[in-house]
Amino acid sequence: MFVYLKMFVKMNNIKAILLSAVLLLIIVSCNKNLTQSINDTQSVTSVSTTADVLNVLQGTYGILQNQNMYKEGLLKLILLCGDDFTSSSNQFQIYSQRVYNSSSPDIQNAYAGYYSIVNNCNFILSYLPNIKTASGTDSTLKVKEEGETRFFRAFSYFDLVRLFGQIPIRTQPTNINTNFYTTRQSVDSVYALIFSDLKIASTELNYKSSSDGVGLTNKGAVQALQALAFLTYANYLDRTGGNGHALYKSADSCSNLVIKSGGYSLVPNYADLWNVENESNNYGSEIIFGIRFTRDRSVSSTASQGSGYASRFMPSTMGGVCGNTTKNINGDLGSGSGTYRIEPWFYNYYTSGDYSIDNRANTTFLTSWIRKPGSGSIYVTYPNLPSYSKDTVLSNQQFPFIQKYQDPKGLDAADNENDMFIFRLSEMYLIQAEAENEYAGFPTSTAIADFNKVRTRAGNPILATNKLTQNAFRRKIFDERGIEFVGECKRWFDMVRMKGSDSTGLLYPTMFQYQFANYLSSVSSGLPLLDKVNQVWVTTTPGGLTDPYSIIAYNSKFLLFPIPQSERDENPSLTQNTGW
Amino acid sequence: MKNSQKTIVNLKKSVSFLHVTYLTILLLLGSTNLNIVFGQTILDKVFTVNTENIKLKAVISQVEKQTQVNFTFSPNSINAERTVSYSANKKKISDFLQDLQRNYNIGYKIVENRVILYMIIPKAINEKNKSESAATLLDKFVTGIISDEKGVPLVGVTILEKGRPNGTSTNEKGEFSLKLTNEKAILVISSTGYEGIELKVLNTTSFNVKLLSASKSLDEVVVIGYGTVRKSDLTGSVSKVKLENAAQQTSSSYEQLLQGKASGVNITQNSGDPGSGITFNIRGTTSLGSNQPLIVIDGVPVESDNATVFAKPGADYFTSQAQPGNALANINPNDIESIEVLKDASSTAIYGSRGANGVVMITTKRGKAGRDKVSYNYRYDASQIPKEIPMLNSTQFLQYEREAYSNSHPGMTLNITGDTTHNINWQDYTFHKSNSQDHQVSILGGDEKTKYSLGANYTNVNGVVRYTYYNKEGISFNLDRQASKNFRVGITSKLNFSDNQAGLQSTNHASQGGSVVGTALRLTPLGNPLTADGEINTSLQYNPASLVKNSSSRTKNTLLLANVFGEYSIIQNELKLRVSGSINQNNSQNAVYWGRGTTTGDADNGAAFLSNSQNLNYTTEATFAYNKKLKSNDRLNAVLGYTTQTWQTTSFGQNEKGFPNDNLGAYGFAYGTTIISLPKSTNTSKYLESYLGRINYSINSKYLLTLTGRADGSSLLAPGNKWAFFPSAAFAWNLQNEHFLNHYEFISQAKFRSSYGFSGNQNIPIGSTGGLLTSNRAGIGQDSIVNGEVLQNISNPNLKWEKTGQIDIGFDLGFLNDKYQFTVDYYQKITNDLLIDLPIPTDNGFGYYATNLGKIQNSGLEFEANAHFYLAKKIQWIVAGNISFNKNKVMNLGQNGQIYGDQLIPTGLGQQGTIAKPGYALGSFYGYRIAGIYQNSKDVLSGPTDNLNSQPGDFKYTDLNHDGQITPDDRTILGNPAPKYTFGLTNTFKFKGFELGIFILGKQGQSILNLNRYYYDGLVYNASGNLRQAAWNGRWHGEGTSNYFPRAKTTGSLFDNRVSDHMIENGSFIRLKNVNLSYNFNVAKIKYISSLKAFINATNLFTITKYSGFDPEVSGLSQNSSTGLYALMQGIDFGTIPQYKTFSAGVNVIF
Repeated sequence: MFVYLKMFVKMNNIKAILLSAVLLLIIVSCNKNLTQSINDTQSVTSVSTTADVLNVLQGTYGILQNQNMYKEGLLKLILLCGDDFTSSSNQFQIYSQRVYNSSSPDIQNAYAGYYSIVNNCNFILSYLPNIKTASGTDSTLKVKEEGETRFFRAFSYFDLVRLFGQIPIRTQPTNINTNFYTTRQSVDSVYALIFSDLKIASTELNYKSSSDGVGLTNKGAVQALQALAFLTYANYLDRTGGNGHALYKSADSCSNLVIKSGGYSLVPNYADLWNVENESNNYGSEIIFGIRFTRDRSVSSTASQGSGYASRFMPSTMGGVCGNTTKNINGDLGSGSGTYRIEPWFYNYYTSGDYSIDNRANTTFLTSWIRKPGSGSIYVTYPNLPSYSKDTVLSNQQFPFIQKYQDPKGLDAADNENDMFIFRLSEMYLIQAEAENEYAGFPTSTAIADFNKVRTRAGNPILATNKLTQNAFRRKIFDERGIEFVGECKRWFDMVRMKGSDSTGLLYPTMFQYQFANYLSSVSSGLPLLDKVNQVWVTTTPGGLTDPYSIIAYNSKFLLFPIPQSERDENPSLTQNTGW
Repeated sequence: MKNSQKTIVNLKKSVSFLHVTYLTILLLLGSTNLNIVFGQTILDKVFTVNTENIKLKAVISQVEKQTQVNFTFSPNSINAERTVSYSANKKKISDFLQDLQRNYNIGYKIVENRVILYMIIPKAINEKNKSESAATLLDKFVTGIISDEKGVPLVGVTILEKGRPNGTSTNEKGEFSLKLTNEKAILVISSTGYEGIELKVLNTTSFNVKLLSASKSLDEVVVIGYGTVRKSDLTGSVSKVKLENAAQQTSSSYEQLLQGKASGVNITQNSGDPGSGITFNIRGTTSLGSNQPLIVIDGVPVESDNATVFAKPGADYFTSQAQPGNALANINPNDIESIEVLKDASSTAIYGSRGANGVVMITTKRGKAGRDKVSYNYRYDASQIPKEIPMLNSTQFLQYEREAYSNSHPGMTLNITGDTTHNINWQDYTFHKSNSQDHQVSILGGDEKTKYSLGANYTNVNGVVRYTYYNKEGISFNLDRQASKNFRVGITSKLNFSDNQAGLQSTNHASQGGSVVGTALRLTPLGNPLTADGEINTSLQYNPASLVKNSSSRTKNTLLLANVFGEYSIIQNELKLRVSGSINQNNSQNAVYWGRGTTTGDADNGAAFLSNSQNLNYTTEATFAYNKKLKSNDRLNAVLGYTTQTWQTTSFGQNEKGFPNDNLGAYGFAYGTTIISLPKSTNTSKYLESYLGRINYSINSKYLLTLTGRADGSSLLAPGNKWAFFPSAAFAWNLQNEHFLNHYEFISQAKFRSSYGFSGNQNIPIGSTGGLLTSNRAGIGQDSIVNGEVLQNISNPNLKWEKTGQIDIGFDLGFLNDKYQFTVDYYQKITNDLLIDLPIPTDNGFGYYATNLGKIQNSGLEFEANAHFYLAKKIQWIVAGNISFNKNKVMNLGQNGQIYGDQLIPTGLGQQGTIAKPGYALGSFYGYRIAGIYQNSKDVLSGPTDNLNSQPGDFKYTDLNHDGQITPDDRTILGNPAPKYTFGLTNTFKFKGFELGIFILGKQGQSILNLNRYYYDGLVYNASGNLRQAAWNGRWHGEGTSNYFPRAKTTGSLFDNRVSDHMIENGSFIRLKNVNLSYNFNVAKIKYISSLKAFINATNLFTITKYSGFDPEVSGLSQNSSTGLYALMQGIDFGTIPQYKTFSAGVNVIF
């Protein structure tokens, strides 16, 4: 190299070399610092005040409202896997027919959705201590934010542990040094985390005040969740050979705190709960916590903040019940899609016996309707006959529908106002009744009073439950919950949680087992058939009262959902639930 | 003399033997390459002069101007002032030089690209000099015989005494004698077409000299990064493709013309839709993300990431059913002079961080000195789809419904009397025969100091999918100016527009009514496409006739490429500084509209999406190039440079619905009633800063050494890891220049090449190193929706470069003056620290994070060969072919060990069908194996347990792990989307004015996941739609009727929602890709026209394949991956528009 350099110099081109060097320097000096510029997205480091934290907290709550969660996807699991609903719609029927598996996307999406909430909560909880507060109100806000965050984390873990059993526990925000491949933790440790979060949250939050926004988390919601979590965990311990006895007492006292808080009251008329225009007022009385959906004028359809229940639950031949902008076969706007349908046996169950004059059945079930407001044409379902009315009956269907969710002012099929109520005061009465019954070993007077509060609201006479055994009373509560909360995502959880018993009080490990292994298999399989000649519905062979595809042989694997296969693909150390 | 004759005879024998052997090799390989360039030597350049009584120097200067060849002479030696008359029509320089020698005793010598003229001193004068100026001449004579490689005496070879006006030439026997003027004389021996040599006389007085013929191709110049190199000095593995007659062939982008033309290059047109994206791999896939090579146009690295120019902020999957367009479809293939594909590390390391996937150097046409040449090309195309897929007719369809019902409801029959009057084959309503036209005009010209080229093109392609079209217009302007002796400036510029109305194709989401192909195949044959009035029946849901007409996805794109450079010679011919700046702006507007008559349009009263994106990328560059011929024939060539590149992207997109009518389509935003989702905007930038250097050292043209290095700093990577150095070294040995090969005269080239080095990949999204938030709204309170944010990603402060190390060993052989050429390369590439968005368990709160992980190996063999034959007397046959074998293998993927591709059809199938798993090829298909069909209930009972509740007639899955049940653990590798080998074979026949080109393309050994079969072969009546004839005919309908297709039923899931080998097909194909016949008219007598050519052309004439779908050339989903794992989504056919079969005709005129 030196030789060439010498030649270079020899050529008397020192000037040239200097020129080159100067040019090189000029060029090199326009050196960039190689920082990237992202002007369209906020950085995590921008979170520095309680207002910023509130922003993340609201975003986190928003996850519960996403399409994969309570807006739609999650309902496929927790609604259709009960015994009360069925569906023949593509993407839905795999749940009602129970042919879903560990690769079914809705399960994966719900699992991921809850953990996304958990991680955001972990982020807030780890970040909050560093947030400097400017004033007294600011530090009050900071405490409140922590309480709400803990509530959402506990809420997510509670749903996760009930759906999947043992699950990974994450309490720190995920970062690059996190062990991404953890193992499933015991159900006990998940509940321990839930209870510790809720305990702290209940001290950090106050009962709702008039200044609170509707649907925000408060002490009532925390205690309601505590009550149900204690009850569920106690059931779990009882079922798995542990001792849940003391926990029933905790469930009892938590539900009692909510009942006695004075902040809530039963809506006198059950039907008023489902008047969408009255929804916000109901938060002032009976609703303790709900997933808030709002007609969204700036975003539509699946991405909107509205719900799709009005469309999913209502029949496709009834116009004007939701915001659906597609005309149905009659050319009417606002019709439902008839996705979720009631099993005929369920309808029969709650319109006979103890429930024959229950006004919740009238309010809840939809068995006949006019085509659209102002139109005389009528549709009927089982058990109505085509001769039901003098008006023209256009068709008959085998499944009744649920009419709790309607929003004629909705903006489109998936953008309606209807909320999903998570906790209502009536459930607190039923939890207290159940907890007392479990703790005392018999229906206590408080239990009976609570039970009858819910029952009489529905127009029923007081039930002489004091003559019932513990088991029979438990079964009464199960049944009561079945009609009180139909379409409110409670049934599947109750079925896998509660000890099963037939109407005489004979015991089974779970209601799910009793229903599928004993009761439903004794009901004639198949849908009611209309005998047009004799004008009767045939509900015994060749007809029946159940969707033959949805009533499958009992298999204990259905007590839990499978850990999503994609999770196990990524993390082979995650075990699978038995049977999946 | 007798001996030598014998030798010649023997040689002839061996040559013909070689012919046969070589031909056999070529045919066996099914390969070759027509487009390897045979460089035109100076002597072949043509000029036309017609002068009387002008000075000789004026004649020379005219020749100079026309041919752009420099003539140098000394006025003392040559009387250039003499008046001459000279006329020549299309004569070669060699003829001119012979005329000079014959008429004026002027000899010549070629040095580099210059012709040096000198006076030949005739023997007589020599003798005279001897007597008259004895004092200047020594009493020393040298004599000798000069012959060619074969020993044939050469006549008229010039022998000069170096530095003296003293010389002679050989007689008819090749003999010469020369009296010297200097004791230490050096003889300069030169002759046209041979490599000149210099000899030291010393004590020798008699010389027997053999001259080597100057090999044409070895003097060819090859474009490499930041410079060019003579092919003979090339150390790396580079394939050169000259795009001849580009305008004669139907192509929507240059890549299509490159397909099958160079070894190691695997190009797949993702879809037949004109302007759609292309999957482009060089030497296999090294990365889980994009494997697109770096594209460098006239020295400027351009944005070629299709996703970048397809930015659709705020679009949901339903509004983005069109394939991402090709970022470089706008580059007019006819503007391209040649394409060099840099493959090995020695050639790609100069592009450092972006070289791992290979580099494609595109050189566009530039002006040449000489007469201004105007050329015009016109082509007309008629296109159609290659085939239709036979589906059920309406009678069969009703039969299917009845059978399905009975199978699911034993003992019951379905009484339906469907309306069979229409019996529609929807493919006829989706596709049609279409026509296209292409116009190309260019003017090239210039003189010694200024050269220019101007071009304009207009292409109008009408798609075979009704209502689709692709129009493009472009202009180009290149200028080169020698501003002063040492200073050269120039500009290269292109401005292209395109307007693409694309056919809707499925992404991995299957929305019926969202893909023209899918809908045409899935809709039942019962519906009526038209109303009684003959209008399109918009009330028929998913009506394909309505879908093609009432939905549109239109992309308008503007591409500006401009590069300005200045080049200053600091030391003449040795040291040059080049400074350049380039702009690459790619703006696009995307307008999607769903009108009434489409599912979305009906639901929303018209739904529109409109987005604009601006992608600016600019480069500044400064390089020093040093080029020095050292003593003893060694050469040193070095480059040192600094460059920066900046990318800025902004975009804006919005959605709206509720339009009063469909008249304004996506442009009627003022009339909409509802926003579908909030508008979204983006604004990001990234930077790259680099230092580069290369040294080529050539010892005596025998031993060649190349050292290359580049240091890159990227804004995308984490602080501390931003910079990386990519070195490489290469060694090559020109064996034909060794003495021991001198005896094998038929070997004209024998070069051994070897290289090892590193290049990288920085292909990760902006922002991967830092933690970001993303917006997520929430409904809280009384009718109020609030803003919210949630965490978007895991920040990774450790992100670093993905590095690929590659070893390459190659051999180039040329025989008989390179009439037959053969190249073989073996390579092994190992990529470490893959930059990936690694999927992680979602309990982390995120589905993936950006990291470096794993190791992938690609190894392969490549052969390129070409040969030139004369059949009979006047028929030339040029055969060129290549064949490439690549084996891709994932070596390691870290702790978890495997990565899955995207879920296929999340709303249905919901499974991943592809995987990256150590020991297997990247993106291998993954799923269940089906052993057949359960024939009876006994068969079912003996089968493994499965939660499917299987019945006779259902799929019998294989229990691969023998645990007695079917679980996800029974999934396995089902196929490989990458071909085992690909080949291209071009045969060109020339006879008088005719030229016939036949190009065959083949890919063998790859599998295709035919996802269309999920729907049209699924046999679940309620879930699918229409059935494929083959599935119906082959269905199970009783014991023993079928062991392949299942029974028809009304319940359950299509294919049980499992990816299985049932949907995996053999994707091998051999395709007659192109046949071109042209005729060159004799235009000697036509004024103003110097060339007139007419041609006919056929593209995709036929394909030999076992694949059951439309077209085995698919990669439809590869650029639609939602997770960015593009390499895991290859070879999946899902509603892909097939490649067209096209017939063309046109003319080409040069004025």
